[in-house]
Amino acid sequence: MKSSDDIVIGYLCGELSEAEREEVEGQYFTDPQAFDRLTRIENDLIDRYSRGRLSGETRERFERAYLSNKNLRARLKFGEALAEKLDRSEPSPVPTTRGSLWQQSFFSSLKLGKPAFAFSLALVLLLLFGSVWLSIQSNRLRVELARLDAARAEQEQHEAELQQQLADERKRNQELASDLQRASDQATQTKTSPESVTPAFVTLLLTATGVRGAEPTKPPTLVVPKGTEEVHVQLTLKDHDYRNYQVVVQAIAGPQIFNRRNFKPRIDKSGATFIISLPSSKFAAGDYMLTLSGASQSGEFEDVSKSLFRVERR
Amino acid sequence: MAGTLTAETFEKLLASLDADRDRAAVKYEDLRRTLIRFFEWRRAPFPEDHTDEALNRVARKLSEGMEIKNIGGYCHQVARLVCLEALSSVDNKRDPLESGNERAAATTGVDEAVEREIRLTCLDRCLESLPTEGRTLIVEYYQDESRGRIDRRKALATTLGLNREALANRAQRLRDKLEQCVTSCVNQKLAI
Repeated sequence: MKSSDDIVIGYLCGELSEAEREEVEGQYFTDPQAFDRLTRIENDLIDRYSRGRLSGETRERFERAYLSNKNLRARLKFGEALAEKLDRSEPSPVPTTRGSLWQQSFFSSLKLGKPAFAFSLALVLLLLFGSVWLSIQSNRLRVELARLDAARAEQEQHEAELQQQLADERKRNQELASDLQRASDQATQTKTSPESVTPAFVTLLLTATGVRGAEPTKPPTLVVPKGTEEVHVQLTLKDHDYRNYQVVVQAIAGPQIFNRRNFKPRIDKSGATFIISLPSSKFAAGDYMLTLSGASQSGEFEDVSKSLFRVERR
Repeated sequence: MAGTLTAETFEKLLASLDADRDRAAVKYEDLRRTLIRFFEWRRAPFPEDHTDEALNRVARKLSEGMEIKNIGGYCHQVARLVCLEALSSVDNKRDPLESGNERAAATTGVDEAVEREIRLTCLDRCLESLPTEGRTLIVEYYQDESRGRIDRRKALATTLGLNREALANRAQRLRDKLEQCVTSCVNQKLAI
Protein backbone atom coordinates (compact mmCIF):
# COMPACT_ATOMS: atom_id res chain seq x y z
CA MET A 1 0.00 0.00 0.00
CA LYS A 2 1.37 3.33 -0.99
CA SER A 3 2.07 5.86 1.70
CA SER A 4 0.69 9.31 1.25
CA ASP A 5 4.20 10.59 0.53
CA ASP A 6 4.70 7.92 -2.12
CA ILE A 7 1.43 8.92 -3.70
CA VAL A 8 2.44 12.55 -3.68
CA ILE A 9 5.85 11.82 -5.20
CA GLY A 10 4.17 9.59 -7.74
CA TYR A 11 1.74 12.39 -8.59
CA LEU A 12 4.48 14.96 -8.95
CA CYS A 13 6.51 12.68 -11.16
CA GLY A 14 3.47 11.96 -13.33
CA GLU A 15 3.48 8.25 -12.53
CA LEU A 16 -0.05 7.80 -11.14
CA SER A 17 -3.04 6.45 -13.00
CA GLU A 18 -5.75 8.84 -14.11
CA ALA A 19 -8.00 7.76 -11.27
CA GLU A 20 -5.26 8.25 -8.71
CA ARG A 21 -4.49 11.62 -10.18
CA GLU A 22 -8.12 12.67 -9.97
CA GLU A 23 -8.28 11.57 -6.37
CA VAL A 24 -5.22 13.57 -5.44
CA GLU A 25 -6.42 16.57 -7.41
CA GLY A 26 -9.92 16.33 -5.97
CA GLN A 27 -8.37 16.55 -2.53
CA TYR A 28 -6.22 19.55 -3.10
CA PHE A 29 -8.86 21.47 -5.08
CA THR A 30 -11.28 21.26 -2.17
CA ASP A 31 -8.89 21.26 0.77
CA PRO A 32 -6.36 24.13 0.93
CA GLN A 33 -4.30 22.27 3.54
CA ALA A 34 -3.87 19.34 1.19
CA PHE A 35 -2.64 21.72 -1.50
CA ASP A 36 -0.20 23.36 0.91
CA ARG A 37 1.16 19.98 1.94
CA LEU A 38 1.63 18.96 -1.68
CA THR A 39 3.51 22.11 -2.56
CA ARG A 40 5.71 21.78 0.58
CA ILE A 41 6.67 18.24 -0.40
CA GLU A 42 7.43 19.39 -3.92
CA ASN A 43 9.67 22.23 -2.66
CA ASP A 44 11.38 19.87 -0.27
CA LEU A 45 12.14 17.51 -3.14
CA ILE A 46 13.42 20.39 -5.25
CA ASP A 47 15.65 21.66 -2.44
CA ARG A 48 17.04 18.21 -1.69
CA TYR A 49 17.65 17.58 -5.37
CA SER A 50 19.45 20.93 -5.65
CA ARG A 51 21.70 20.05 -2.73
CA GLY A 52 22.31 16.51 -4.03
CA ARG A 53 20.45 14.85 -1.17
CA LEU A 54 17.87 12.82 -3.06
CA SER A 55 18.49 9.05 -3.07
CA GLY A 56 19.35 7.32 -6.31
CA GLU A 57 15.94 6.06 -7.46
CA THR A 58 13.92 9.05 -6.27
CA ARG A 59 16.45 11.34 -7.83
CA GLU A 60 16.19 9.63 -11.19
CA ARG A 61 12.37 9.68 -11.17
CA PHE A 62 12.28 13.28 -10.10
CA GLU A 63 14.90 14.39 -12.55
CA ARG A 64 13.24 12.56 -15.40
CA ALA A 65 9.85 14.11 -14.61
CA TYR A 66 11.00 17.68 -13.98
CA LEU A 67 13.65 18.09 -16.63
CA SER A 68 11.34 16.86 -19.39
CA ASN A 69 8.86 19.72 -19.02
CA LYS A 70 9.74 23.37 -19.59
CA ASN A 71 7.71 24.73 -16.68
CA LEU A 72 8.82 22.09 -14.19
CA ARG A 73 12.40 22.48 -15.34
CA ALA A 74 12.15 26.17 -14.60
CA ARG A 75 10.96 25.32 -11.08
CA LEU A 76 13.90 23.03 -10.60
CA LYS A 77 16.29 25.68 -11.84
CA PHE A 78 14.75 28.19 -9.48
CA GLY A 79 15.24 25.78 -6.59
CA GLU A 80 18.89 25.30 -7.56
CA ALA A 81 19.47 29.05 -7.74
CA LEU A 82 17.79 29.63 -4.39
CA ALA A 83 19.80 26.89 -2.71
CA GLU A 84 23.03 28.21 -4.21
CA LYS A 85 22.21 31.76 -3.11
CA LEU A 86 21.22 30.84 0.44
CA ASP A 87 24.01 28.35 0.98
CA ARG A 88 26.60 30.88 -0.17
CA SER A 89 25.66 33.26 2.63
CA GLU A 90 26.73 32.67 6.23
CA PRO A 91 24.07 31.12 8.43
CA SER A 92 22.59 33.79 10.63
CA PRO A 93 22.08 33.14 14.36
CA VAL A 94 18.73 31.75 15.37
CA PRO A 95 16.48 34.69 16.17
CA THR A 96 15.13 34.61 19.72
CA THR A 97 12.90 37.65 19.61
CA ARG A 98 11.01 39.54 16.96
CA GLY A 99 13.33 42.47 17.65
CA SER A 100 16.45 40.43 16.85
CA LEU A 101 14.69 39.12 13.75
CA TRP A 102 14.30 42.68 12.60
CA GLN A 103 17.94 43.40 13.38
CA GLN A 104 18.98 40.41 11.35
CA SER A 105 16.72 41.37 8.50
CA PHE A 106 18.33 44.80 8.54
CA PHE A 107 21.87 43.46 8.23
CA SER A 108 20.95 40.73 5.80
CA SER A 109 19.21 43.26 3.64
CA LEU A 110 22.48 45.16 3.62
CA LYS A 111 24.24 42.03 2.43
CA LEU A 112 21.65 41.11 -0.14
CA GLY A 113 20.75 44.48 -1.51
CA LYS A 114 23.85 46.48 -0.70
CA PRO A 115 24.00 49.31 -3.19
CA ALA A 116 20.36 50.33 -3.39
CA PHE A 117 19.67 49.93 0.31
CA ALA A 118 22.85 51.72 1.30
CA PHE A 119 21.98 54.54 -1.05
CA SER A 120 18.45 54.75 0.33
CA LEU A 121 19.77 54.68 3.89
CA ALA A 122 22.30 57.38 3.10
CA LEU A 123 19.57 59.47 1.52
CA VAL A 124 17.29 59.03 4.53
CA LEU A 125 20.09 59.98 6.93
CA LEU A 126 20.98 62.96 4.79
CA LEU A 127 17.37 64.11 4.75
CA LEU A 128 17.14 63.60 8.50
CA PHE A 129 20.27 65.62 9.27
CA GLY A 130 19.23 68.21 6.76
CA SER A 131 15.84 68.66 8.33
CA VAL A 132 17.38 68.89 11.83
CA TRP A 133 19.88 71.53 10.64
CA LEU A 134 17.13 73.49 8.90
CA SER A 135 15.03 73.33 12.03
CA ILE A 136 17.89 74.74 14.13
CA GLN A 137 18.59 77.47 11.60
CA SER A 138 14.94 78.37 11.37
CA ASN A 139 14.70 78.65 15.14
CA ARG A 140 17.80 80.83 15.33
CA LEU A 141 16.49 83.14 12.63
CA ARG A 142 13.13 83.35 14.34
CA VAL A 143 14.81 84.45 17.59
CA GLU A 144 16.92 86.99 15.73
CA LEU A 145 13.87 88.35 13.92
CA ALA A 146 12.03 88.74 17.22
CA ARG A 147 14.99 90.61 18.68
CA LEU A 148 15.19 92.94 15.67
CA ASP A 149 11.45 93.57 15.85
CA ALA A 150 11.74 94.51 19.51
CA ALA A 151 14.67 96.83 18.80
CA ARG A 152 12.81 98.46 15.94
CA ALA A 153 9.72 98.97 18.09
CA GLU A 154 11.85 100.54 20.83
CA GLN A 155 13.51 102.84 18.34
CA GLU A 156 10.19 103.89 16.89
CA GLN A 157 8.89 104.65 20.34
CA HIS A 158 11.97 106.74 21.17
CA GLU A 159 11.61 108.59 17.89
CA ALA A 160 7.96 109.30 18.67
CA GLU A 161 8.94 110.64 22.09
CA LEU A 162 11.55 112.91 20.53
CA GLN A 163 9.02 114.16 18.02
CA GLN A 164 6.63 114.93 20.82
CA GLN A 165 9.34 116.80 22.75
CA LEU A 166 10.17 118.81 19.65
CA ALA A 167 6.53 119.72 19.15
CA ASP A 168 6.25 120.74 22.80
CA GLU A 169 9.35 122.90 22.55
CA ARG A 170 8.09 124.58 19.43
CA LYS A 171 4.79 125.30 21.09
CA ARG A 172 6.55 126.77 24.10
CA ASN A 173 8.70 128.87 21.88
CA GLN A 174 5.64 130.22 20.18
CA GLU A 175 4.05 130.97 23.50
CA LEU A 176 7.14 132.74 24.75
CA ALA A 177 7.39 134.70 21.55
CA SER A 178 3.78 135.73 21.97
CA ASP A 179 4.38 136.76 25.57
CA LEU A 180 7.42 138.67 24.57
CA GLN A 181 5.56 140.45 21.84
CA ARG A 182 2.75 141.19 24.22
CA ALA A 183 5.15 142.53 26.83
CA SER A 184 6.90 144.57 24.24
CA ASP A 185 3.63 146.02 23.04
CA GLN A 186 2.67 146.83 26.57
CA ALA A 187 5.97 148.53 27.22
CA THR A 188 5.58 150.63 24.11
CA GLN A 189 2.07 151.52 25.06
CA THR A 190 3.20 152.59 28.49
CA LYS A 191 5.89 154.90 27.04
CA THR A 192 3.52 156.66 24.65
CA SER A 193 0.59 157.23 26.98
CA PRO A 194 1.67 157.43 30.60
CA GLU A 195 -1.76 158.66 31.70
CA SER A 196 -3.09 155.35 31.03
CA VAL A 197 -0.76 153.92 33.74
CA THR A 198 -1.25 155.01 37.36
CA PRO A 199 1.65 154.04 39.63
CA ALA A 200 0.90 153.45 43.28
CA PHE A 201 3.86 155.65 44.39
CA VAL A 202 6.63 157.73 42.95
CA THR A 203 10.13 158.08 44.33
CA LEU A 204 12.49 161.01 44.41
CA LEU A 205 16.17 160.22 44.99
CA LEU A 206 18.26 162.87 46.68
CA THR A 207 21.88 162.95 47.76
CA ALA A 208 22.89 165.04 50.69
CA THR A 209 25.42 167.66 49.59
CA GLY A 210 25.98 169.58 52.78
CA VAL A 211 24.60 172.87 54.06
CA ARG A 212 26.88 175.04 52.01
CA GLY A 213 27.08 172.62 49.04
CA ALA A 214 26.57 174.15 45.62
CA GLU A 215 22.96 173.97 44.62
CA PRO A 216 22.29 172.27 41.25
CA THR A 217 21.48 174.68 38.54
CA LYS A 218 18.25 172.91 38.14
CA PRO A 219 16.67 171.25 41.19
CA PRO A 220 15.48 167.68 40.70
CA THR A 221 11.82 167.42 39.70
CA LEU A 222 9.42 164.91 41.01
CA VAL A 223 6.49 164.29 38.66
CA VAL A 224 3.45 163.05 40.48
CA PRO A 225 0.88 161.52 38.06
CA LYS A 226 -2.74 161.83 38.75
CA GLY A 227 -3.99 159.09 40.95
CA THR A 228 -0.64 158.42 42.59
CA GLU A 229 -1.20 157.70 46.20
CA GLU A 230 2.23 158.12 47.82
CA VAL A 231 5.43 159.96 47.36
CA HIS A 232 8.68 158.48 48.56
CA VAL A 233 11.66 160.72 49.07
CA GLN A 234 14.94 158.91 49.53
CA LEU A 235 17.91 160.88 50.84
CA THR A 236 21.36 159.35 50.91
CA LEU A 237 24.07 160.68 53.26
CA LYS A 238 27.58 159.45 52.67
CA ASP A 239 29.15 160.39 56.01
CA HIS A 240 26.88 159.99 58.96
CA ASP A 241 28.31 161.28 62.19
CA TYR A 242 25.23 161.62 64.35
CA ARG A 243 23.32 159.13 66.38
CA ASN A 244 19.97 160.40 65.29
CA TYR A 245 18.66 163.00 62.96
CA GLN A 246 15.80 165.37 62.23
CA VAL A 247 14.21 165.61 58.81
CA VAL A 248 12.03 168.57 57.82
CA VAL A 249 10.26 168.99 54.46
CA GLN A 250 8.82 172.43 53.82
CA ALA A 251 7.29 174.09 50.79
CA ILE A 252 9.18 177.20 49.79
CA ALA A 253 7.10 180.09 51.16
CA GLY A 254 4.70 177.48 52.37
CA PRO A 255 3.88 175.11 55.21
CA GLN A 256 5.97 172.24 56.62
CA ILE A 257 4.66 169.03 55.29
CA PHE A 258 6.98 166.73 57.24
CA ASN A 259 9.01 166.98 60.49
CA ARG A 260 10.45 164.11 62.42
CA ARG A 261 13.06 163.99 65.15
CA ASN A 262 15.08 160.92 66.25
CA PHE A 263 14.98 159.74 62.65
CA LYS A 264 17.31 156.79 62.46
CA PRO A 265 18.51 156.07 58.91
CA ARG A 266 19.24 152.78 57.24
CA ILE A 267 22.99 152.25 57.41
CA ASP A 268 24.89 150.31 54.71
CA LYS A 269 28.14 150.54 52.74
CA SER A 270 26.92 153.46 50.71
CA GLY A 271 26.18 155.40 53.89
CA ALA A 272 22.95 156.40 55.61
CA THR A 273 19.66 156.35 53.75
CA PHE A 274 16.59 158.28 54.87
CA ILE A 275 13.27 157.29 53.30
CA ILE A 276 10.31 159.56 53.84
CA SER A 277 6.91 158.31 52.69
CA LEU A 278 4.09 160.84 52.51
CA PRO A 279 0.64 160.91 50.87
CA SER A 280 0.90 162.54 47.47
CA SER A 281 -1.83 164.95 48.43
CA LYS A 282 0.62 166.75 50.69
CA PHE A 283 2.71 167.73 47.68
CA ALA A 284 1.11 170.54 45.74
CA ALA A 285 2.99 171.64 42.65
CA GLY A 286 5.89 173.88 43.64
CA ASP A 287 9.32 173.93 45.19
CA TYR A 288 10.26 172.27 48.42
CA MET A 289 13.27 172.15 50.82
CA LEU A 290 14.35 169.03 52.64
CA THR A 291 16.51 169.92 55.66
CA LEU A 292 18.52 167.23 57.42
CA SER A 293 19.80 168.00 60.92
CA GLY A 294 21.89 165.84 63.20
CA ALA A 295 21.55 165.79 67.00
CA SER A 296 24.87 166.61 68.84
CA GLN A 297 25.90 165.13 72.17
CA SER A 298 24.46 168.06 73.96
CA GLY A 299 21.10 167.29 72.33
CA GLU A 300 21.11 170.36 70.05
CA PHE A 301 20.39 169.83 66.30
CA GLU A 302 22.80 171.08 63.68
CA ASP A 303 21.98 171.33 59.98
CA VAL A 304 23.73 168.64 57.98
CA SER A 305 22.23 169.21 54.49
CA LYS A 306 19.58 171.16 52.63
CA SER A 307 18.12 169.72 49.42
CA LEU A 308 15.85 171.70 47.08
CA PHE A 309 13.43 169.82 44.74
CA ARG A 310 10.41 170.68 42.61
CA VAL A 311 7.08 168.87 42.38
CA GLU A 312 4.97 168.84 39.27
CA ARG A 313 1.50 167.37 39.29
CA ARG A 314 0.03 165.79 36.16
CA MET B 1 -8.44 30.10 -26.01
CA ALA B 2 -7.98 32.32 -23.07
CA GLY B 3 -10.52 35.07 -22.67
CA THR B 4 -10.91 38.06 -20.33
CA LEU B 5 -13.18 38.13 -17.33
CA THR B 6 -15.62 41.01 -17.46
CA ALA B 7 -16.03 43.06 -14.31
CA GLU B 8 -19.47 41.64 -13.75
CA THR B 9 -18.47 38.02 -14.12
CA PHE B 10 -15.42 38.60 -11.96
CA GLU B 11 -17.59 40.04 -9.20
CA LYS B 12 -19.89 37.02 -9.39
CA LEU B 13 -16.91 34.72 -9.11
CA LEU B 14 -15.62 36.57 -6.05
CA ALA B 15 -19.05 36.49 -4.47
CA SER B 16 -19.20 32.71 -4.95
CA LEU B 17 -15.90 32.32 -3.08
CA ASP B 18 -16.80 34.40 -0.05
CA ALA B 19 -19.37 36.95 1.00
CA ASP B 20 -16.59 39.18 2.32
CA ARG B 21 -14.82 40.74 -0.65
CA ASP B 22 -11.36 40.84 0.95
CA ARG B 23 -11.50 37.19 1.94
CA ALA B 24 -12.90 36.38 -1.50
CA ALA B 25 -9.89 38.08 -3.12
CA VAL B 26 -7.49 35.93 -1.08
CA LYS B 27 -9.43 32.80 -2.02
CA TYR B 28 -9.37 33.86 -5.66
CA GLU B 29 -5.58 34.14 -5.56
CA ASP B 30 -5.32 30.74 -3.85
CA LEU B 31 -7.59 29.22 -6.51
CA ARG B 32 -5.51 30.73 -9.24
CA ARG B 33 -2.31 29.30 -7.71
CA THR B 34 -3.92 25.90 -7.45
CA LEU B 35 -4.99 25.96 -11.09
CA ILE B 36 -1.55 27.04 -12.32
CA ARG B 37 0.10 24.23 -10.38
CA PHE B 38 -2.49 21.78 -11.65
CA PHE B 39 -1.70 22.63 -15.26
CA GLU B 40 2.04 22.51 -14.53
CA TRP B 41 1.79 19.07 -12.88
CA ARG B 42 -0.37 17.93 -15.73
CA ARG B 43 2.37 19.12 -18.12
CA ALA B 44 0.05 21.47 -19.99
CA PRO B 45 2.11 23.87 -22.13
CA PHE B 46 0.73 27.26 -21.03
CA PRO B 47 -0.40 26.97 -17.41
CA GLU B 48 -1.35 30.62 -16.89
CA ASP B 49 -3.37 30.89 -20.04
CA HIS B 50 -5.20 27.67 -19.24
CA THR B 51 -5.86 28.96 -15.75
CA ASP B 52 -7.49 32.08 -17.13
CA GLU B 53 -9.59 29.98 -19.47
CA ALA B 54 -10.76 27.75 -16.64
CA LEU B 55 -11.68 30.71 -14.45
CA ASN B 56 -13.51 32.38 -17.35
CA ARG B 57 -15.63 29.30 -17.87
CA VAL B 58 -16.48 29.03 -14.19
CA ALA B 59 -17.34 32.71 -14.00
CA ARG B 60 -19.49 32.49 -17.13
CA LYS B 61 -21.48 29.65 -15.62
CA LEU B 62 -22.02 31.67 -12.48
CA SER B 63 -23.17 34.70 -14.45
CA GLU B 64 -25.61 32.46 -16.33
CA GLY B 65 -27.20 31.75 -12.98
CA MET B 66 -25.75 28.35 -12.30
CA GLU B 67 -25.52 27.55 -8.63
CA ILE B 68 -22.20 26.01 -7.69
CA LYS B 69 -21.94 24.72 -4.16
CA ASN B 70 -18.42 23.33 -4.30
CA ILE B 71 -16.53 25.92 -6.27
CA GLY B 72 -13.19 24.15 -5.77
CA GLY B 73 -14.50 20.84 -7.04
CA TYR B 74 -16.18 22.49 -9.99
CA CYS B 75 -13.00 24.36 -10.87
CA HIS B 76 -11.16 21.04 -10.83
CA GLN B 77 -13.58 19.53 -13.35
CA VAL B 78 -13.43 22.56 -15.59
CA ALA B 79 -9.62 22.58 -15.35
CA ARG B 80 -9.44 18.88 -16.31
CA LEU B 81 -11.52 19.60 -19.37
CA VAL B 82 -9.39 22.60 -20.35
CA CYS B 83 -6.25 20.50 -19.87
CA LEU B 84 -7.56 17.70 -22.04
CA GLU B 85 -8.49 20.17 -24.74
CA ALA B 86 -5.09 21.81 -24.49
CA LEU B 87 -3.11 18.58 -24.64
CA SER B 88 -5.10 17.17 -27.52
CA SER B 89 -5.29 20.45 -29.44
CA VAL B 90 -3.82 20.39 -32.93
CA ASP B 91 -2.38 23.92 -32.29
CA ASN B 92 -0.39 22.70 -29.37
CA LYS B 93 3.25 22.49 -30.49
CA ARG B 94 5.10 20.01 -28.40
CA ASP B 95 8.30 21.22 -26.81
CA PRO B 96 11.10 19.46 -28.73
CA LEU B 97 12.81 19.02 -25.39
CA GLU B 98 9.92 16.83 -24.25
CA SER B 99 10.44 14.30 -27.05
CA GLY B 100 13.33 12.58 -25.40
CA ASN B 101 16.15 15.00 -25.39
CA GLU B 102 15.78 15.78 -21.71
CA ARG B 103 19.31 14.76 -20.87
CA ALA B 104 20.66 16.83 -23.70
CA ALA B 105 18.68 19.78 -22.45
CA ALA B 106 19.94 19.26 -18.94
CA THR B 107 23.56 19.18 -20.02
CA THR B 108 23.65 22.00 -22.57
CA GLY B 109 26.91 23.78 -21.88
CA VAL B 110 27.25 27.51 -22.40
CA ASP B 111 23.59 28.33 -22.65
CA GLU B 112 22.92 26.73 -19.31
CA ALA B 113 25.72 28.61 -17.59
CA VAL B 114 24.51 31.90 -19.00
CA GLU B 115 20.95 31.10 -18.01
CA ARG B 116 22.15 30.19 -14.52
CA GLU B 117 23.87 33.55 -14.11
CA ILE B 118 20.80 35.36 -15.40
CA ARG B 119 18.65 33.43 -12.94
CA LEU B 120 20.95 34.29 -10.03
CA THR B 121 20.90 37.97 -10.97
CA CYS B 122 17.13 37.90 -11.22
CA LEU B 123 16.96 36.18 -7.86
CA ASP B 124 19.04 38.92 -6.27
CA ARG B 125 16.79 41.55 -7.73
CA CYS B 126 13.60 39.77 -6.74
CA LEU B 127 14.82 39.16 -3.19
CA GLU B 128 15.58 42.84 -2.92
CA SER B 129 12.05 43.66 -3.97
CA LEU B 130 10.58 41.64 -1.10
CA PRO B 131 9.75 43.40 2.16
CA THR B 132 12.51 43.01 4.75
CA GLU B 133 10.57 40.65 6.95
CA GLY B 134 9.67 38.47 3.98
CA ARG B 135 13.24 38.40 2.78
CA THR B 136 14.45 37.33 6.19
CA LEU B 137 11.82 34.64 6.41
CA ILE B 138 12.83 33.17 3.05
CA VAL B 139 16.48 33.17 4.00
CA GLU B 140 15.92 31.68 7.42
CA TYR B 141 13.38 29.11 6.33
CA TYR B 142 15.09 27.72 3.25
CA GLN B 143 18.71 27.68 4.32
CA ASP B 144 20.37 24.29 4.16
CA GLU B 145 19.19 21.67 6.67
CA SER B 146 22.74 20.74 7.54
CA ARG B 147 22.95 24.13 9.28
CA GLY B 148 20.30 23.37 11.84
CA ARG B 149 17.35 24.14 9.65
CA ILE B 150 14.87 22.32 11.83
CA ASP B 151 15.87 24.25 14.93
CA ARG B 152 15.93 27.44 12.92
CA ARG B 153 12.40 26.88 11.67
CA LYS B 154 11.20 26.11 15.17
CA ALA B 155 12.75 29.29 16.52
CA LEU B 156 11.38 31.30 13.60
CA ALA B 157 7.87 30.03 14.26
CA THR B 158 8.21 31.02 17.93
CA THR B 159 9.53 34.45 17.03
CA LEU B 160 6.69 35.15 14.63
CA GLY B 161 4.10 33.66 16.92
CA LEU B 162 3.03 31.02 14.39
CA ASN B 163 2.65 27.29 14.52
CA ARG B 164 4.92 25.31 12.22
CA GLU B 165 2.28 24.73 9.60
CA ALA B 166 1.31 28.40 9.41
CA LEU B 167 5.00 29.29 9.12
CA ALA B 168 5.45 26.76 6.35
CA ASN B 169 2.45 28.15 4.46
CA ARG B 170 3.69 31.70 4.80
CA ALA B 171 7.14 30.69 3.58
CA GLN B 172 5.56 28.79 0.70
CA ARG B 173 3.53 31.77 -0.47
CA LEU B 174 6.58 34.02 -0.35
CA ARG B 175 8.58 31.46 -2.27
CA ASP B 176 5.86 31.28 -4.94
CA LYS B 177 5.91 35.05 -5.32
CA LEU B 178 9.68 34.98 -5.52
CA GLU B 179 9.58 32.24 -8.10
CA GLN B 180 7.05 34.10 -10.27
CA CYS B 181 9.25 37.19 -10.09
CA VAL B 182 12.39 35.25 -11.07
CA THR B 183 10.65 33.38 -13.91
CA SER B 184 9.28 36.59 -15.35
CA CYS B 185 12.70 38.28 -15.05
CA VAL B 186 14.53 35.37 -16.69
CA ASN B 187 12.02 35.16 -19.55
CA GLN B 188 12.40 38.87 -20.14
CA LYS B 189 16.18 38.69 -20.26
CA LEU B 190 16.22 35.59 -22.44
CA ALA B 191 13.73 37.14 -24.83
CA ILE B 192 16.01 40.13 -25.46
